Order: sequence, then structure tokens, then C-alpha cells
Amino acid sequence: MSDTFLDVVAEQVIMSYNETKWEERRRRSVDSSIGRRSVLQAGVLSTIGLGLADWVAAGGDHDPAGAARHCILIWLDGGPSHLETWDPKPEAPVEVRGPFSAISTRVPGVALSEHLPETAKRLDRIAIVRSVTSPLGEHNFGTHYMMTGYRPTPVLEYACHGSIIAHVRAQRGVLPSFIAVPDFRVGGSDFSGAGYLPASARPFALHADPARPDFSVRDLDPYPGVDLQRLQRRRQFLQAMDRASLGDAPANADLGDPAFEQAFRLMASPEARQAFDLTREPRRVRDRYGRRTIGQACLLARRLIERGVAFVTVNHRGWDTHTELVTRLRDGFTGARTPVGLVPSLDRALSALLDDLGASGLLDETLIVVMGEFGRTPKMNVRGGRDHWPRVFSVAMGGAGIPGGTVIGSSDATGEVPKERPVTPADVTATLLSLLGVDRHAELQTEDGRPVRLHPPGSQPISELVG
Amino acid sequence: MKSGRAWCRSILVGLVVWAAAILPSAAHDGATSSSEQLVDFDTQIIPILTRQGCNRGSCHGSAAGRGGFRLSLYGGDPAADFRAITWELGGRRIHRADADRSLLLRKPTEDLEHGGGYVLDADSEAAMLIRRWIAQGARRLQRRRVERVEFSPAHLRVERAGERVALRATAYYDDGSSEDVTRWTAWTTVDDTAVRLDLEQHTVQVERPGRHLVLARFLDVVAPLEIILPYGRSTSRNPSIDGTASAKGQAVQRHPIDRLVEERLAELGLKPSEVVGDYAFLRRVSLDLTGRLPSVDEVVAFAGDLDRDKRTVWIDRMLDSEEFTIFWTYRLATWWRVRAPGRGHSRDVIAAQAFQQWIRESLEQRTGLDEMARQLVTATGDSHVHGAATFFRLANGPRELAEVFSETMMGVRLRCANCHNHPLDQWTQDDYHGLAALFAGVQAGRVVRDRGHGEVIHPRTSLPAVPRIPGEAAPVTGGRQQLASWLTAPENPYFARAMVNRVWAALLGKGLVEPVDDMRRTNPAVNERLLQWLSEAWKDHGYDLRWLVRTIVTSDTYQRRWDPKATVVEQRMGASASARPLAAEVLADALADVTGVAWKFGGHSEPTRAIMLADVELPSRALDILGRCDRKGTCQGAAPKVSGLARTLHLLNGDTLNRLVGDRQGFLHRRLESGVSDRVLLRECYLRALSRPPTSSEEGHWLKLLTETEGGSEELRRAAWEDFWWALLCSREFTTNH
Repeated sequence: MSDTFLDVVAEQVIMSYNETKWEERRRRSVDSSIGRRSVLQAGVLSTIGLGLADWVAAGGDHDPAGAARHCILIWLDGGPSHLETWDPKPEAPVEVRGPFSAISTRVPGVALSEHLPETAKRLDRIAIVRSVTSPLGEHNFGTHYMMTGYRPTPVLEYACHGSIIAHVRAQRGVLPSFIAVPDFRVGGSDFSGAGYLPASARPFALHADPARPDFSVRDLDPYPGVDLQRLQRRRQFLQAMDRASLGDAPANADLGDPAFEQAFRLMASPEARQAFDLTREPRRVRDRYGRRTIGQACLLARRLIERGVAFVTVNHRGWDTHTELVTRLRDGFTGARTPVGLVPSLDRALSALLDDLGASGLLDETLIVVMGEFGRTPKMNVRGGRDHWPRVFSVAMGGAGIPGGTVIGSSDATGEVPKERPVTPADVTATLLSLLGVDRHAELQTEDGRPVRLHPPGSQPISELVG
Repeated sequence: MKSGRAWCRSILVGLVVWAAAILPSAAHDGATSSSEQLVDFDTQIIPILTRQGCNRGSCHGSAAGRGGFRLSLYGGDPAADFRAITWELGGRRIHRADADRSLLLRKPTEDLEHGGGYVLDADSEAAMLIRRWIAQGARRLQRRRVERVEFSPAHLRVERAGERVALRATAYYDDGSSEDVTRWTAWTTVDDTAVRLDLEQHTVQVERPGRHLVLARFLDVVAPLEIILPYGRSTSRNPSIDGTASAKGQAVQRHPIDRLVEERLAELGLKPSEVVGDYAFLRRVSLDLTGRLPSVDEVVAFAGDLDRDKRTVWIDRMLDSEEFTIFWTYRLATWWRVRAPGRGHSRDVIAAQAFQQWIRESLEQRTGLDEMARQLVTATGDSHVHGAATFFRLANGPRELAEVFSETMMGVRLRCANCHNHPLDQWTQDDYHGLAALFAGVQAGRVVRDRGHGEVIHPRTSLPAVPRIPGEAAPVTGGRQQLASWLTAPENPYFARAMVNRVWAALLGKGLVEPVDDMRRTNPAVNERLLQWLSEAWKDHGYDLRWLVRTIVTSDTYQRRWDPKATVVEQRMGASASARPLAAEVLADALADVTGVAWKFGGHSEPTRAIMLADVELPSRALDILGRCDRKGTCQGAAPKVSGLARTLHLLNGDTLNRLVGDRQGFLHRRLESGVSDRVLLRECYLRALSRPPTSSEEGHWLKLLTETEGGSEELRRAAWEDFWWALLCSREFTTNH
């Protein structure tokens, strides 16, 4: 009895969690070079609750040829002003033009805000979409739309790009596939990210600011007195416990928190933990990115994708500039209660990231996206700010073989509506997913069997960018 | 005439398809049917704009319009639309002499470039109607108003996937006429992967089993159509119901909740799971009524209680307990968003505590929820003394108060109607700003008072909005008193339903309407008859919270077993219980009770129960990790602040659980010190944490593992038990109510 119980426990380590099982199979199939398709054909996956067709459609385990392996999404939370960043209107009346001027860039005829000088020098590596348009001017709604390509509906919370990638790609190494730095409080924090996908597809949010001198990922070190061996035992005990109480639950039931498994693996790997150690970077490199949160977060994002992480969201908050736009977008001073100096710190971080990834060659296989949930009103308000404006705004993308220096679409003379080539958030999502190798027809299923297309219905990837 | 109309209707049900497609004008059954009949802008042109999508939020219906042409969202403001079409742009949108030269026709037919593309066929009936209207002088006759619209089938069960169902809409006007408006109705579906709409033939096909909704809109009338394709192959008679009834072997009257739920299950072809055993029942009902796990003594006593009616007896005992009052104070405090006004260190914790204390005292005195709502809505005075007044300090201005009021007291989200009429419900901007205007005079400092003046500017008129009660035409002169009387009147259609729905959600995991604060015509309850019955019965019982809770928890529906195989639909419909994660505060208290290590939150030097904290911003990493809600919104289904891997890492390595498990003064270590046998200790652990003894196989398995360290040091034994204890407290069975 006793030995069999140990066997049972050992077996349960592999079998108990749906997710774990999936991971195990996935790893085994890769290790033995069988490839997922043959595993699929063998019918093994039919028990784990994921539609077979999904995986085939999603391109299987291997990234389709030419697809980007990584993505860094620099999320400008609150809604960045397109007029003060990617789409200045120097010819417009002052109440539209705003307080800043425009500068020319490396790409003839394309101007950027004066506070993006370093980016301007590197614009040959960036494409700007200036005609993104959405009807949703509320933070939560806009965020859901931009992050998932679907408008929010009470029926279903959709999954964001990062969660989709984390779910359909095999995790490389022990680092989570989808990491949010410093956190994932986007659009007013009502959005979990994973939507209908299992909890394992949620972003791993560090909840720690890499710009702080005492930065370290919380709770990554064992509690005093609890060594790895004991953690291993806890893991087995917990699995046995859940197994017992669930009885003959079907394989596709959510059997618990697969995050436990991930936590155990992450803790056991010193290499993985070094990824988070920014003190290993030379001082001048850290300075180059800028010492503010977004700078150090981008530096950390670079270290993470160098170690195989598929998707990093850098969450840069404070772009909801209803008031004091000048202070918040331009000036920088320490001790400010709200984030300030947003545009220059973005400029610095983004250009350092482009330089480093360009030098290491990773830029070719890494997609960089800079966007927020909407733009800002063309006319300044009486409080020296701009309010929400979803009707036209800009998204910037670079790397992953995107033709740099391209400008897609345009807004009208006052940055009020798209003038040419309107692009919807669904199109942006389709573009992102296409570049990351998710097939147009790929589908996943919700827990209750509702099929969800990953490319939103009616969406069209931006052809100039996906090639 | 009335019977004639009914007769017409009954024939037309059969003839709808060809009547709509072949004989469009014959469908009029009003007095006038000549082809030169004057076209009515409000009831004939506006529906075209809606059906073709012109006045959608993403097109000309957006707040700023599109391409310089602005229409009211879904035609909510015909006067404005008439102005926009006939006067603006120097009247170029219409050309009375040559209708075909009107921009109104040239743009959507793409005779001229149109940002919205080709949305109207020049030869269509819609285009011809517009043409005729222009040729007749493009006037706004206001000939008639819609009184009501009947959409059918309002409710239908189909037996086969793919079966075609004809859709039909009939409008009834105030001039006595009626008209088939099927083809002028905008039909949409909530789930287009399960429901296929054919907008040419006006039919719908259901592809997947389940309960599906089709939304119909004609002018400002919206309604859901429910179409059910049953699961399984069972017919409308579900044998298991009779089985359940006869198993009890009595002729007792079925609990009304069970009757209504089982009727619904039968219709859906679903079967209920059986009723839970005693251990699971006691744990579930204790957590739901008192927010606590049953003590070991209670578990043993209940199991040994031979009274046939013991479940009811114990329920009644719990309802009378102080723990019930404390826990339901916590629940009401969550629903009514009790928290400290202000921010950070300057937040006013005393006001939050007074608010909570007011709830507690009201529940102690068994005040009806209608009376509590009345006191809340009319509260004035020093919020440190009259706690209910704090409610008005938690919103930022009258508009936000209107939103919070509608969500908490009416279960309705009025906020969409700030900028435009609510697209999926009846709410208009007049309702929103009218309600806000009602709160405009409230001065919400520490002392809450009515200033007697103050206004809210209506964005459409740029004039002060007239104070109004949502949905009522007459202006309010009696201020908050009048609002409170309206809200708590027996005929009020919102309050009782909203509260009943919340209590249902608290006890069964999900509301009959979800989300609980989004009750609207287009989001119908999963079991409307049940919601209706329960609301009415609750009113008849004086809005007594204990009556409502008792009625629900004494039903078999509440006492169903949790079936891990059950689908979301089965759980929503009441066929199976669900495993509901314990609320952060409840879980924190359960952890403290079970481990015997009390919390000391924030600056409190005394042990504190988490459910009694009025200040939800009191810093506590433990409560954040466990997922506490900040009470700024509905606190339902909100993503926890800390999730996934971060949470798990903390449970593994953080000091929350490790401290509780390792505390030498805690239950585990004291029992280990006492020299109790492993077998007894194991049973105690199970009884304390899971409210049941271990099964014999569980006992065998764990004893084997835990005694493996025998012969080793005391330290090894302790470590093994700590690890077991940790796993037990992280287990799904412990962290959920099931």
C-alpha cells in the first residue's frame, strides 16, 4: 500500500494538473523530436481539453518560418497623446498644435514631437501607424479593445496578445512566457489579461519597480527554513490533496492553480533568477536606458527576451494627461507624485532598446510595439491638458523585419479623424499576431466549448507591415 | 378592433416570411395604405438609419458624429436628427426637387464617396422610402408615436440544431395603427458562433445547445428573444424531477425555488445533481451565513444530530447568531462600497467605521432592506455619527453619485447614459443627468447636507438638467426623500430584484443576472420567473434579509452537490453547486481560525477579524495576496490585485502562510508538542480545515507518509507535518466554498 501510494503521488506529480500534463507532454514531444503534429495525430491531446485543430491551425510547436519569436509591448497606460508623440501637427492652430514643436527625423518628410529626438534618429527602424481609430474612449474598454482586438462584451473577456502567445507557444526554459514589468495594472486594473484562457496564460507581474535600487522579484527566495526538498514535498502533497478531493474530475476541469508548478520550476533555476538581476548590467548601460521606471523596465525586458521569454509587457503608467500636459509629458523632476517627463524617458528607453537589440541581432526576431488605449483630444482643454480621443491615434512598431521608416495612414490636419487608411484595433491585433506567427484561422476554445478566433473576425493585418 | 388585431397577428405568425419579403406594403394593417401615404420621419426614416447602422456609435451616432454629420445614437433624438438632415450643411443633405441628388441618398449608395462605404442599395425598399419622404417635402410630421413593439418569438425552444425560426416585429402606434416592422428592425445576436441570423429572410438558426439570445431593436425599443436548444436528448419531461420528489416519499409541497429551477432545467434538458451530504452542507452553509468554518465541535454535533429537520434547525440557529449579523454586515458593506473617504493617510477611517456600524445596527434590529435603503438615500448630518451619510462622500460629484446609486440600489448601469442614450436599454441622457441633478445639492463634507441649490449641466441642452427619477417623466420637487420613496415603493421594479439577485449571487456563486449591477432588458435573468417570484415574495416579507437567505438556503437548489464535471451553464441554471473561491477576508479569517494564529492588521494591536475591517485600504500584503476588493466597483469577478505566479510564489515563499504554518503557538505545533498520535492529529486537521474526517484511504495514505520520518529527529517530524498542513491550506477544497 505504502509504496503504491508513493507511486501514486509520483504519478500525480505528472498527472494531476491539466496544465502540468500539457507542459510535460509538450516537453516530451519536443525532447524526443517527435514534433507536435505527430503527437496530435496520435490523439494524445484529445484528453486535455484543447481542440486539436487549434494547435494545428496555430502552427504547432514550431514558430512558422519568419515569425518573430519575441515581443516587447511598451504599453503607455492612460492613453498617450498622438499629437505630442508620433503625429505632431506643427501647422495647426496653437490650441491643436499644443506647446511642443515638431522635429524632422531620419526619414525625409516625417516629423515627430521635439521630445523624441533619439527616436527620430532611429526612425528608419520604426513604422508608425497614424490612422488607428476606435469608438471606445473609456480606459477599460479601450484597453480591452487594443489588447485583445475585440470590443468588450459581457459575454466573454477576451485574451490579450501576450496571453495568447503564452498559451499557444511552448515555454522556453523556466521563465514564464509572458511577463509584465513592473505590473499589469492596465486600463484601470480591471483586466486580467488572460480572459477566457486558463490562469497559466496570465502575465507574471513582478510587482516591483526595476528602477528602485532594492529591486528584486518578490518572494523568489525560499522562506527561511524551507529548503527546496521541502518545497518539492509540498508540491507533491498539494497535488495529492487536490486529486483526492476532486475525485474523477474530467481532464479539462480547472484542477487548481498551475502557477504552483511554474513557481516550483522558476525557483529551482539559478540561471532564470539571474535574468532579473539588473546589477549585472554595466552602469553605463543602465544609464543609457534612463534610470526611470520605463528605462530600467525596457532593460529588463531585453534581458528577459535574451533568455527566451516570448512576450514582455512594459507597463508605463501616467499618460492620462487631462491636466498639466507640459509638466507630465516633458519636464522631469524627482519626487513628483504623478509620473512626469514621460516622453523623454520613453525616447531614451526605446532608442536604447533598439540599439541593443539591433547590435545583438535580436531585433530581427523581436517585435517592439508602442501603444496605449487611445489618443488625446485635438484641442487642448482649459486645464492645459487633453482628454480621451479614440477616433484617431498612433501605434508604433519596430523590429521583426518590419520595414522601418514606413508611415501607414494619416490623420487629418488637426489629428481629429483618420484621413487615409483607417486601421482598427482589431487590425492592429491581427498585425501583431501575424508577425508573431499566429495563423489567421487559428482558433481556441473557452472552457464551455465556445470557439474563439484569435484574429478578430473582420480584421485585416496591415499588409505593409506583415509583408 | 382589438380582437381584429389579435386575429391579424395570429395569421401573420404563419405568413411572416412571405409577407415581409413579397408584400411589404400589404403588411400595414392600419387605416391608410395608399402608396402616396405620407412618410413619417420619426417612425419610418429613423428605423432605416438604425438598421443600416448609420447612427451606430462607431459611425454618425458617435458623440462627435462622423464626417461632419452627427446623428443621435440609435435615433434616440429624432428632433436633432431631423435638424441634422434637413437644415445643417445648408440643407444639402436633401434635395426636395430631385430626391436622388440628396446627399442622404448619394452617400450611402456610394454615388458619392462615403467614409462608411456602401451601406444602402439604391433600389432597396429603404432607399425608395427615403426618396418618397424627400419628394413629399422632407417634413417631420410626428404623425404617430410608437407605443410598444412586439418581437417574436419572445421565448422559444427548438428541438434540433439548425432549425429555422422566423423572426417578427410588430409596432403598435398611438394612432391605433400597427405595422409589421420586421424588416426595419435591427436584429443582432450576443453570440454569433452559436446563433446564425439570416437578415434577408429574417430567420434565426441555433447551432449549439444552450440558451441563446437574439436582440431586437426598433427605434428606442430593445428586447431580447430567448431561444433554447436543449442539451441531451431528454424531452420536456425530466424524469429525474419526479424521481427526486418521490425519493423524498412525501406529498409535501415542493419548495417554490426548486419547482421553478427544475422547470427551467427540464426545458433545457439538464438534470440536477443530488443534494449534498451533511459534512459538505454544514461547511457550505456556515461559510455562507456566518463567514466562518464550523468548529470541530459543531461538525461532530451536526453529524450526530438525528433530527430529521436538523438542517433547517441549524440554519435558523445561524440566522439568529451574532456571526450572521457580522458577516452580512461585511457583505452589505461590500455591495454598498463602504470604505474611507479621501485618500492615503488623510482618508477618513472613522466615517467608514460609522457607515459599517450603521449597517450592523440595522441588521441587528432586523430593519428591512427597504428601510435601510431609505435611510441611506436620505442620510444627512455628521458622517461620523450618522454613518449612512458616508455613502455620499464616496463618490466624486453628483454624476458619479448617480452612477453609484444606480449600480448599488437599482442594479443598473446608468453610466453609459452620461454621453448618449443607453444603447442597450431604455436609459436616456435625461435620466442620467436628471438623477445627477437630484444629487447636485448634496454637500458632501464630513457633514452631509442639502444646500438647496446646485445644478448639473445637461450636455445636450447646455442648460441645468431637470431633477428626475430615472424613467419617470415628472420633475422631482421633493429631493432625495422623493427618490427614496420611489425606490422603496412596492411597485418599484428595481430595488427588490437588485437585492435578491445579489443575495442569490452571494449564496450560489453567480447571480440570476450577471453582472449583478447590469440588469437591463437586453441582459435577461437566466431564470426570470424565479427572480420574479423571489422578489415579490421578499417584498411580501418586509424586505427581511433573513427571510430571503433562509428561503434560499433551505431549498434543494442551494443544497445541490458540487459536481466538478458540471458545466458553467449547469451551475448558472442551478443544476449543480459550484466551487466558489472564498473572499479574501473570509479566507484570511478561516486561515487564522484553523491555524490558531490571529491576524493583527495594520496598526491594530489586538487580534482582528478581516471581515470586520471597514477600511479596505488598511495596508495588508496578506489580504492583497488573497485577493481583497477595494470596493470602488462591484467587487464581483474583478481580477485580484495579485494573481497567478506572483500569488503562488508568495504562498510558497512569502511570510503569509509560512508564518501561520510555522507558528509554535499555533494549533499544529501545540498539538505536536502535546504528544497526540498521528492518527488523531490527522483527523483533527481534516475536521478543522475541511469540516470532515478524512476518508479511510486518505487516512492511510497520509499516515504512511507522515510517519516515514519516525525514528528521525523531532525536527523532521515537525517539518513533515508543516508541509502537510501547508498543502492542506493551499488545497482547492480548503480555499473554496463548494
